[in-house]
Amino acid sequence: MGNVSRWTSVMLMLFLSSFSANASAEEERGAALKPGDMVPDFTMPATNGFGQRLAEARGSFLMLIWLGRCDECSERLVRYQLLAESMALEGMKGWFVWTPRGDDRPPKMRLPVLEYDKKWRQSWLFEDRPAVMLINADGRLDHLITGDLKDNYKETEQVVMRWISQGRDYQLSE
Amino acid sequence: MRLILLLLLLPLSAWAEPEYTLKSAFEAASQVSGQGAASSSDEAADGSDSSSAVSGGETDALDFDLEELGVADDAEQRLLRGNFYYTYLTGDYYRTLYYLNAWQALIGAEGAPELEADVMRAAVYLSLGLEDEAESIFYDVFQRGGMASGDAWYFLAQRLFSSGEYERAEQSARNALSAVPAVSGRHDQELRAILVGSISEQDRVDEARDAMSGLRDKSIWAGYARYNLILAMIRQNYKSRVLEATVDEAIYYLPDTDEGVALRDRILLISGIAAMEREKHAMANRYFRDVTLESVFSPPALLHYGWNLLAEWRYEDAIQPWRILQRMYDEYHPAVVESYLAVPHTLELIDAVNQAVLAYERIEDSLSVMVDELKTVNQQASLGEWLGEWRNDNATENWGWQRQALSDLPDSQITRFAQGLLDDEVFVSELAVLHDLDRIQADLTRAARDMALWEQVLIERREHLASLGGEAVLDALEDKQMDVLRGILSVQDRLLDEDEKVFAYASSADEARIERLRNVVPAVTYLQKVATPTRELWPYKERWRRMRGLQLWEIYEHQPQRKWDTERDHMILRSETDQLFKQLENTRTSLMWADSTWRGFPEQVTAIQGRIVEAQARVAELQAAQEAHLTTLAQTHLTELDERLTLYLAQTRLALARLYDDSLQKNFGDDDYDGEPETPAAKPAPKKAEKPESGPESEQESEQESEQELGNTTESADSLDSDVNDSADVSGSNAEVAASEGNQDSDAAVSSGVGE
Amino acid sequence: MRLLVLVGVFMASLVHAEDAAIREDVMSVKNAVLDLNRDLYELERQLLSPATTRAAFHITLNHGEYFEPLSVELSVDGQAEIQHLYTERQVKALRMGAVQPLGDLNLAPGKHDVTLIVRGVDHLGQGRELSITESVTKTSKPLITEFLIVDYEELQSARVELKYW
Repeated sequence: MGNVSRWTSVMLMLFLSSFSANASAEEERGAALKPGDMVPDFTMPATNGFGQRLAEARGSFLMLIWLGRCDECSERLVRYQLLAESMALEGMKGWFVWTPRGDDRPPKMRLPVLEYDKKWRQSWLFEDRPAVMLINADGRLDHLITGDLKDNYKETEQVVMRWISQGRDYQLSE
Repeated sequence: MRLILLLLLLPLSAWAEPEYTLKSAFEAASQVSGQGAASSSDEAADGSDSSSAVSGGETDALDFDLEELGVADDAEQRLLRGNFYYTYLTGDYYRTLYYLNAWQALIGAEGAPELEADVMRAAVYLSLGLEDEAESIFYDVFQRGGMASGDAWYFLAQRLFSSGEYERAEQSARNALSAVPAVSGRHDQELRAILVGSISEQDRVDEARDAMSGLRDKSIWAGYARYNLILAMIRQNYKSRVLEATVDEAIYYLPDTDEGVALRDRILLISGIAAMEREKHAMANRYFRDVTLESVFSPPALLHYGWNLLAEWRYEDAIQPWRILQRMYDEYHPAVVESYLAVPHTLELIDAVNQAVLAYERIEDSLSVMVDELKTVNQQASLGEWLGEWRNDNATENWGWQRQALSDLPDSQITRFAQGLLDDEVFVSELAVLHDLDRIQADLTRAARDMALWEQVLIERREHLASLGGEAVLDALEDKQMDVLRGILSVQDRLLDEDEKVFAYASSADEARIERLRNVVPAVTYLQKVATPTRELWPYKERWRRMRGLQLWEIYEHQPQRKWDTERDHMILRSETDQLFKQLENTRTSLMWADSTWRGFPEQVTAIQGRIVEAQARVAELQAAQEAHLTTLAQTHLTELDERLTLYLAQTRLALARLYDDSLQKNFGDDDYDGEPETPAAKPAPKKAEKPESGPESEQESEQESEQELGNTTESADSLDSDVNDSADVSGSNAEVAASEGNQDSDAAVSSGVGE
Repeated sequence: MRLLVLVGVFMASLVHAEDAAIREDVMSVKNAVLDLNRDLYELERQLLSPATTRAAFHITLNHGEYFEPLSVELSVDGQAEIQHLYTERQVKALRMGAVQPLGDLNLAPGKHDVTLIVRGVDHLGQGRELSITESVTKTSKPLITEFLIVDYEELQSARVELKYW
């Protein structure tokens, strides 16, 4: 019995360390990501509907907004939502990625709000801080704007506009 | 503001450069961002070339706009302007007008530059002998207040002066001196000489003298200017002292070159003639004596020198220059011909009767031969040949002022007789006109040949184009284009339909599996119909369901990527095919244009050929008319010469007859008077010399001159003969005509031709 | 006739003798085979050969009128093995009859408790959780199973059923 409990604890530790290793590997993967890299495929559940998978967004422009710490922070995200919806006709999609901490509540948005839960092995965490990723139709990261979402909105808007207008030509030239 | 700051930061040396070459502009632009290029020193000084400055301030050295540099526009203008001037200066006037048009079209109606083009067009027209057109442009330029360059005005002044348009030449010269940019240094002196000459020709002597101030004394152009000034003074009967001073000044400063020597002789000649006409014989002698024997002005100078001495009753001295003239120059030279009777006449005046007789006899022989020769050559056919030979010799020279120099008329007897005619400006200009017509005709012939060749080329190219079968090839390509388009549209339809399908965007392997599944359905259905008790269909259905389900799931998983790949490929395909269609369209257009570029050309060539033929006919008519005119001029001259020589011959014979008669009478008289001692008659007082004009004046000589005179003068005549018979040993350089100063002793006669 | 009988008896005695020999051979071969099987089983167990231990799990959705899956978790013998999050198009594929290969596991032969928890929403948009726990026996053959999410018309609900292929 003592051996069993010892083995069990060892197995448990190994199991948990694999998670942390995975997480650190994931974090390493996310931290190393730069424009031009392929964004790894992920599937995350949504707080307001079906889960989303990156591979299913292939062929569309995707604006991925990492919220960082967010406790029902809908007001901060309204402009981003409007921006994404205005670009929907151009074929752009917009997702929010929420990393809950403690008793945080998810923002209530029309766009999918994906919830990062490390329980789900298909999930992917870029960085636990606000950022905007612009992923092109091929699944490559075109632009990465890190920092406070409110401060970076104008820049994001300009970049998105230019990105969308150039995007189709870029795809054709590829 | 940023631009101004950048401009201020540039080093001063950049602004100080007189010209901004293309190379320096690009180098500067590559080194410094925001470099402003100035196309001229003036613009640089003004710093007003802001339109050509490069905006920037960024670090990328290549991030500038070529158009904004302003170099391209100026460079193109400079290039065309340079082409124009080059072709003008090398005399290729056809191209000159072509480049002038191109330059003018480029600069457009922007005021000043266009006026320069007009001025140059006027100069070209003048060069081509189109004075009327040049004049009209000239007036137009004046009205518009032209600001052409100094050089442009200089060329115009040059042409106007040569054409005798002195008033306008003066205006052009003044414009040239005040123009900006100023006239080039190498033309400055000539321009000032033209100015002085133009004013002088208008007999405004004082103004001309004032205008002399800009000329360098030792310049040949100053000499020409003074020459014209002297002519004006002579015409105006200026005071002798002033005239003499001007002549002395002119001669003193002339350079010691061939041209300077010729100009010096010319000045001395006209001055001597003027002095002679004013009966200032001593001064005239001084001038004539200083004329060299190396220029074309020497023969007339010798002739007039003799006349001048004769006018001073210095008979023996007068013979000397005439002897030199006759010995050194061709016997058919007009001056020599004029001197023929002068010598024996003068001999008669000094009572050298025997010598006079001998001289007359020689002259009679010469004149007889000349008259006979003249009668022979004074035929239309031979004159035609003479002109024809000259025309052939000058066939390669261009027309108008393009020609470098027309060669002399060919060496022949006619040319010898027509030497006087060749000095006639009218004949020379008419000859030049004939040459121009010949040249134009040759150009027309060449143009006709070129047109024939172009016609052939057109035919060959059209045939070649037709043989390529461009139309057929394009039609086939267009059929393919339609097929491709249909294919693309069908692909597009399939893409649209694909989204509706269950098994959308299935791969070929997936399709195969789906087909197999599909094929199973009829079999299962059949079995179901048959429905034997022992047959259990449920496993088959279940298995079919599972396989279908798995296949469906797999297709769905890959669908987004496949759909995107397909759409992207479709977009690329559309883009490529659009480019291909565009290229096809362009090819079709180019084929149309290729064909159309030749359309109308044969008609144009035919029209030009017609115009050429018409022009050739007109020119041929003019040629014939001009040739006839020249022949008439030559014939008239030769006829006049014939008459004159005949007259001289008659006079000579009459003189001979008279002298023989006198001699006979004298002999006859001696025989009659026996016993009366012979007393030597006193030497008759020297008669006042009469200038034996080329005419029958010798008839006035009295038959009273006796044998005595004949005998007394024998001795002196003999000594003169010795001088005469001694061949003139004229030194080739700086020989001066010398005359014995009142020395009637023939032994002391000056050795022929050698000056002191 | 007698001769035939004699020959028949002789042959029968011969056959009988041969039968006995054959039977003995067969018995020995059977024993040998059993031993071999045992050895093989031991070997397979040690090698954990997939062919023997493969267990494939699939999920299908039958109509899906009363339940829409959002996530699924499969655990075997208490250990969480397989997870999956569903996207809308995956659910749509399931509705159209697609069979989702949830995943392959290696199970040792014998009995195992397999638990499947499906979380989703019902036709009213309420969150629901369907689960099933079954004891499956892993034999030497591959274990291929299918979890069907079927509608339960009477309760206007859905349940999960396990099927073996």
